[in-house]
Order: sequence, then C-alpha cells, then structure tokens
Amino acid sequence: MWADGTPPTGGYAIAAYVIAAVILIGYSFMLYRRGSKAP
Amino acid sequence: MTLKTRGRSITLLGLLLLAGVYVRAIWFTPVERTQGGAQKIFYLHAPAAWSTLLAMGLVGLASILYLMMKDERFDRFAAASAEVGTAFACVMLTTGPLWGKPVWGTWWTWDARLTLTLFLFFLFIGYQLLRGAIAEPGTRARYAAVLGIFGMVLVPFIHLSVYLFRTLHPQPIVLKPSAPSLPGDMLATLLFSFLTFTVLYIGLVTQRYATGAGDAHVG
Repeated sequence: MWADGTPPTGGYAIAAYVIAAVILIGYSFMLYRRGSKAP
Repeated sequence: MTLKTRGRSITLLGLLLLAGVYVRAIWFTPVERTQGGAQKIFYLHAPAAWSTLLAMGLVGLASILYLMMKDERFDRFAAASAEVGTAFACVMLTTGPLWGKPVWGTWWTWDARLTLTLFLFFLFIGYQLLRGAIAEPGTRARYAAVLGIFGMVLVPFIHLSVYLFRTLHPQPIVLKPSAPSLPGDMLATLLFSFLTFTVLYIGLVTQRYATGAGDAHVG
C-alpha cells in the first residue's frame, strides 16, 4: 500500500496506456502511409 | 478538401484529443481508493470497447444496406469499419487483462462477457481473412456482408451478457437505464474519452474508406 492507502497498481495502468498509444498511433500512421502510396 | 485529407485531419484531431485524455486521466482525475492506479485503465478500456462495438454494429448495418441496394460504397464502408474495429478491439483486449490482473487476480477468465468479446475479435479477423480470400468483388462483398451481419447480432449479446450471466466483469456504469454511477470528475474524463474514441473512429474509417482498395486480392 502507498502512504495514502491505495494499492500500488499504477504499473499496470502505465503498461495499458503505452500499449493503447502504440496501437492507435501506429495504426493511424499505417493508414497515413497507405494513403500516401494510393493514387 | 479530399476525403483522404479530411480523414487525416479528423484522425489528427482524435490523436490530439487522446493526448488530452491521457493528461486528464493521469493528472487531473482522482485515484480510486480500492483499485489504485490500475482503475485509470478504465478511461481507455471502456471507450475502446464502445468503439469496437460501434464498428461491428456499423459493419452489420452497412452489410444489410449493401445486400438490399447492391451499392459498392456500403461494402467499402463495412470493410473500412471492420479494419478500424480490429484496431480498437486490440486496445480493448490488451487493456482489459492489464486491469483484470491487479483487480480480479487473474489476466483472463472464460466468462460470458470476455469469451463473447474474444469471439467478436475472431469475427473481425475472420471477416478480413474472408475478404482477402475471395477475388471476385461481388462474391466477396456478399459473403463478407453475411459475416458482418452475424457480427452485428453479437453486439447486443455482449452488452447484455453481464446481466444475463454470472460474470466477474462489472455491469455498465454509463450505458444503462439509470443515471451513471460514477463521481463527477471520473465521469467527465470517461465521457471525454468516449468522445475522443468516437472522433478517432470517424477519422480512421474516413481515411480507410478513402484509401479504398485495401482489400487483398487472390492471385
């Protein structure tokens, strides 16, 4: 427990936020690249 | 402004809003007392689930319209929505276990909500494999439409599964008949994230639709 009584589970949140950003930004970039190649 | 440019602009707006969601969720939303920091996964997981179900619902709707009118644009929209829905499903299915482990004590459990959601993800994948496997556009659109309608039928079962079956997964706290059961700060962040994911969905689908011929062809 942290001093304020909450459990130390922030690491899971950090992992989730990083993974979500990688998926969403990565897919957006992939579509951007695909659009640039298309006529 | 072309459709592609419009899609890119909306996507960029969505990504900027997403950055705003991160800042608000991490620094300006209170930490839940019993779950700790892991509860903040909620602000990504629930909106990703919303976008996934929205995507599959619209795949099914576009599929029905395609079968009725034989307008190629509906098939193209369905293909775009399915691909974007797969990306959101990946977010939902990775953030869910990361939240479940510290809160439930397990990464995964085979209850109705989680199993149906995994099945929906497989339907998204199968939908795209099917599109990639059929060369003739008319046949591809017709077969894909049937699968898309199956996917749409699954959507209300997923939403209602927490009422119909015993499950570890919590019941809806916003999309339910009574008022949302969430403190104001947390509700504001959640609604902001719902809006952001909807904008992202619109932007990504517009881009994918404009790119058009994204379907693989045999031979």
